[in-house]
Amino acid sequence: MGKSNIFSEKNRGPLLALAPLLIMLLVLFVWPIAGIFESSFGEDVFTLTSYQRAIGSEVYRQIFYNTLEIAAVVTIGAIIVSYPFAYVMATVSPSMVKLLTFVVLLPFWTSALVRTTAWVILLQRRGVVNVGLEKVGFIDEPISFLYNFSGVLIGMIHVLMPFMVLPLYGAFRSIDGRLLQAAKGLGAGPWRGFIRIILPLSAPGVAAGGLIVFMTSIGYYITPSLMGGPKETMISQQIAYHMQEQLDWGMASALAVILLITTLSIFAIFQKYFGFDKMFSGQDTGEPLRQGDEKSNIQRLVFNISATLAAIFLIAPILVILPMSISETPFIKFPPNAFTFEWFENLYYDPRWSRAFFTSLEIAVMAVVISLFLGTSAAIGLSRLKSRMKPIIEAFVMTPLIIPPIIIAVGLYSFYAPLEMLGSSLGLAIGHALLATPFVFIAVRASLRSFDQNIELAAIGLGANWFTMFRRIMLPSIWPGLMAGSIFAFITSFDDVILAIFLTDVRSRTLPRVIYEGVKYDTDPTIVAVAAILIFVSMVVLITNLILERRK
Amino acid sequence: MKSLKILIMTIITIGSIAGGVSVAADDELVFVSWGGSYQSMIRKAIIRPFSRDTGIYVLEETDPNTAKVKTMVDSGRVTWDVITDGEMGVLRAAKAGLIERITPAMVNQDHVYPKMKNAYGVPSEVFSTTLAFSTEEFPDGSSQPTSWADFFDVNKFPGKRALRAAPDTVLEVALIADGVPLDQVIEVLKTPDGLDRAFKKIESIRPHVALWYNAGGQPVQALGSGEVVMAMGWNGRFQTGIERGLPIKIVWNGAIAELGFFMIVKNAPNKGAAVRFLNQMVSPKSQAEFYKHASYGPVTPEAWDMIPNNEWSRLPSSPDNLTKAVFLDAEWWVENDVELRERYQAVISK
Amino acid sequence: MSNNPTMKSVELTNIVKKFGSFTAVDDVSINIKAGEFCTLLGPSGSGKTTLLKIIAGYETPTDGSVKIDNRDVSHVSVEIRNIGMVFQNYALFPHMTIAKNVAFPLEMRKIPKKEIKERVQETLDIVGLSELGERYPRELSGGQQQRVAVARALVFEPDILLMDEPLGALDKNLRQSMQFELKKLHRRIGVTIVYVTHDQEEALYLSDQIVVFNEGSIAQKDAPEKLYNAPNSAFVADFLGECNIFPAKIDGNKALLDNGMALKIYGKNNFLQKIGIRPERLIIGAAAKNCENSFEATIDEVFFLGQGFKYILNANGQIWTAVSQNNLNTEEYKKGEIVSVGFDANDIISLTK
Repeated sequence: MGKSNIFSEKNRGPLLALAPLLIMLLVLFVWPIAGIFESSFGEDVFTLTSYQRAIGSEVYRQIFYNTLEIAAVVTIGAIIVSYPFAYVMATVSPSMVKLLTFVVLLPFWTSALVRTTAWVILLQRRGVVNVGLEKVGFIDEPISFLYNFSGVLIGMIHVLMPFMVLPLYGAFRSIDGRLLQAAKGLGAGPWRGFIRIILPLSAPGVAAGGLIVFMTSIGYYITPSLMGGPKETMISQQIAYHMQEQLDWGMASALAVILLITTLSIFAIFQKYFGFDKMFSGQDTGEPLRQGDEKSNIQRLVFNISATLAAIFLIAPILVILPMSISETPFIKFPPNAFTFEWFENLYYDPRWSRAFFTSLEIAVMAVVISLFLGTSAAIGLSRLKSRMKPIIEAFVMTPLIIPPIIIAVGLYSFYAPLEMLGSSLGLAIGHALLATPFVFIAVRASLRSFDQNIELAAIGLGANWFTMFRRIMLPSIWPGLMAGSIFAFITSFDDVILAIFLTDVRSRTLPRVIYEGVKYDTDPTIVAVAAILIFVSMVVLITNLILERRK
Repeated sequence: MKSLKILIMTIITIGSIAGGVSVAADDELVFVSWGGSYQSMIRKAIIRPFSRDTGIYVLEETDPNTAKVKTMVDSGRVTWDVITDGEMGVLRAAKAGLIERITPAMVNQDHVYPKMKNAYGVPSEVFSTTLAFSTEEFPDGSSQPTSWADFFDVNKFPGKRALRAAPDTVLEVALIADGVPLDQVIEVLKTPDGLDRAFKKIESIRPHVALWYNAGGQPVQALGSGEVVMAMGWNGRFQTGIERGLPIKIVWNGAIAELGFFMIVKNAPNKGAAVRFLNQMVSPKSQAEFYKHASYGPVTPEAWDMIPNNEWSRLPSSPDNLTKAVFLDAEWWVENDVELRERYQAVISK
Repeated sequence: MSNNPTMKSVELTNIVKKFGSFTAVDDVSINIKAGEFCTLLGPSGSGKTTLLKIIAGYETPTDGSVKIDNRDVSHVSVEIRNIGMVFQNYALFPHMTIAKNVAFPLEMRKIPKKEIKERVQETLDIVGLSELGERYPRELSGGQQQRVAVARALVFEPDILLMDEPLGALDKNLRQSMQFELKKLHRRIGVTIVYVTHDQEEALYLSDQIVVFNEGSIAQKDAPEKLYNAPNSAFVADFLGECNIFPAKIDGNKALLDNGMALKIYGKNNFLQKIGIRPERLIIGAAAKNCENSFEATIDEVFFLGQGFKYILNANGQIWTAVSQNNLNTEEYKKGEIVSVGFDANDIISLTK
């Protein structure tokens, strides 16, 4: 019932609401990517040279293989580290949940670059980890964590772990705790109860988190170039090299097209078996899982130890930044020989940093506003749309989430250039909005699901017009979704390096870009001071929130 | 979440107000270079005196990659004036028509070493890729590495190495280590046999390389932190490390010398200011300033008169160091870069 | 709220509603008198809620017209149609207090603040929630929420009040007392009510007129007693209360059942295809022999209902249901007993389909 023609009168309103996002995606996403496709076949005459080189050469095949291998191992690693953590998070007391939420959110709020920097400090030969292990006597020789596979693995898992923990947490929260009690009553011991009940029921969460982590990993660029070696060269780095240094757009485009096709195929396979719409849909149902008598002490111990280790893994690199920011040799040695405030002074005297900070904020605010408008409007439109096209439109709206950002960056770069929009804050903000809108869309969709459509009808029946209804009834109901979406959008924008590298210039340089340049061209210790301040601000915001919430 | 919401809103509001204040100047010049201590040297030795003398505000940016220059020039919206790069960068940019030709009428280069001149750029400094080792690992008084042969000899000098993740300079160094005399290195490199020889040499050291670096700061940090005991890298970066108190010593024997250039982007918006800037940069007086802030060699013999004798040993273009150095053949590298890079990537990622 | 309510009639003429190829409402015409309590009754998916939404204006009919107080409102949009509606799950605004919820329609009509306050209080008094104005919906019980929904739908003096299964979410006891409240309320303010339910008891109890729906069209419409006593089809007979229904062949004043039983019947027409007898009309025991129709049957199953007993009877392979009252005069029978069963010819309901 109700699956009428998509252009029927009934769908006019919903289509109108979907239109802004769809138009933006077509103009700024599909069209530029079509441009990449075109230039991969040569600039003037049709040629397959670039593809022959990309596919024929052992080097690029190896790099593609590396990319997939790293993405796969990072995904598996993230699942292993996140699973017990999310499980414990879903089963402990409310005050512990707050603490663990803090542990997940703090890194999430902290720039990925800052975290990579922190890992370099922790993992280097005379870094905290090696010194610690040597002192305890576990090792005689320092372990080489950096500039190899382990470096990339540690760095990427850490950056991507929140994306794994949050869907998993949602999945665990939606499991009815009475199921475990029932299983126990039916004779299942603690481990079998876990394996037969919890494991299969949390599978959608694993799949959702796994997909996000895998898709994001495939397009990774920053972490492998700062923490890996030549064997960990990933395809995005090669795309950037051919574009930026060799001016070989054909080759860069061909590699981008192959990457795009690979990504979309993997996504299609996933979609077939799991379905994208199940993501983020975890809702509290029934009696929540509890860490209680339905499990054995040993089991509880195993989970708690794993979760504690995961928590340390998450938070340690963040916290180490704070003392290291006043070390004289932050990138070289731990413990520091001497302390100094020189790096903070540098920060104070160098206007680059504050200017970049405010530019980042300005761009993030614009990106949030744009993506809120587009995402909310599209989510409402789609939820009211009655058509068989609905799942297709939904998947299309999500695609920016799974397309490697470097492809979006390259596409926008060539799109903006003739429009003289390179270097404009608005241009970058629109790019960020492109990346962030799916998050807003998902969040608003989720909160609309719990918004009874009768409430909307009731308001209109009671005499409100649609806009009054939206403002007074719907908006307050989807407010949590809007807030969650804005936070995602803000972080997406505030943390982006790749788009910023391509789309900004001296006047619109963002903070992550300045940090990236600092890390790449010179190990400038000022970065550590910047990182310390950013972390400090995030901590203050989060802690204030926790305190205020408790008071309520 | 309500409190969090208010906090975020507050931050956002402050941000949008503050972000609206932008920097604007009438007389300005946009200078784009590679950041780090190199750019800070330029800032101290040239930009500050230049701004003081001329009143022109120099806006600095980093990462002048050629693709961006190309997009700017192609789209007709050029926002950069002066960019810097190595000789290979100059040749590539000139070939793509991205930079202005520099005529003698624009910049007087009569006093520059003749073989350093280029029609499209003004040479700014001589820098070298050298060997450096950790004096903690090989302290004074004990046996210390003195040549690239020692770099490739892990029996004599055990420990991890750092090499660049791109082949230019590494192939030259490999041939020197393999016994090719300095004056024949470039010739041998251009033969297929020579290339095979270089790659073979690199394969021999591969298991001992802990860091294949992309960024110039990495080898210094790796040496300082003990990640590696020997590294190749830019002499200027090593020198900065030494001055920061890191246990590093530079070996000049077999240094690969390269030239840095300043270029003017085609249709630069402040071309007049750019020309003045380049003239000031290449003047013997400015050239003799560099050594105070970093260890780069001047491109004009006249500068040596103003540099104290005891500083000469750490500068790549000093007469003594030049005799132990090989100049990179930038033209040949521009021709063969992509192919060699792919081969190099294959070799080092095995 | 004034005690002199606006009483408006509703006239639906040949309403058709199609969704694509599916016909949800098929040529429905109903007249609802001013002040009447009219129930749309039917199983889920029978089109009754769609029809209610058409009256409210949420759906536009594919064909046909809606007249309120003799004025065609088919093309008047929802928010100015002035109709009160109570939704299935009440659709209370969760972020507003009870008073704010009730005030909402008045605010939309730009009524002065002072008057809003008075009218909200007055209406909350009527539904007995005067003390709870500052609470939020989630802090109220299901019954209280239901009353808020009614108050909100009445406060602006709508021309008619529409209710979509308003008691569906309540437990049985509460539902019964709310039915009583609703009936009182209807008597008191006299507004025209169109009520949707699938609960036949509720429909019988509340309505002046019941319209029974089946697959998009009207099966029968009439006053409750008439509908119960004289259903025109097996569907209505079975949907409205329980009924023993058998196919029958008419032979003069005899109805022949499949198992060979012949029943006495009065003046029935020849179009008759089935007969029905309500379980409570069956008499069991010795008295049965005095009835116009009687037969022997074995008791297959006995259920104790509280107010009575329900017997499943087997008469020559034909299954009958009988209900007896739980009073001093009734005899109890055990499973397996053979009893006499009887009823009068007048108790037979003739069904045309």
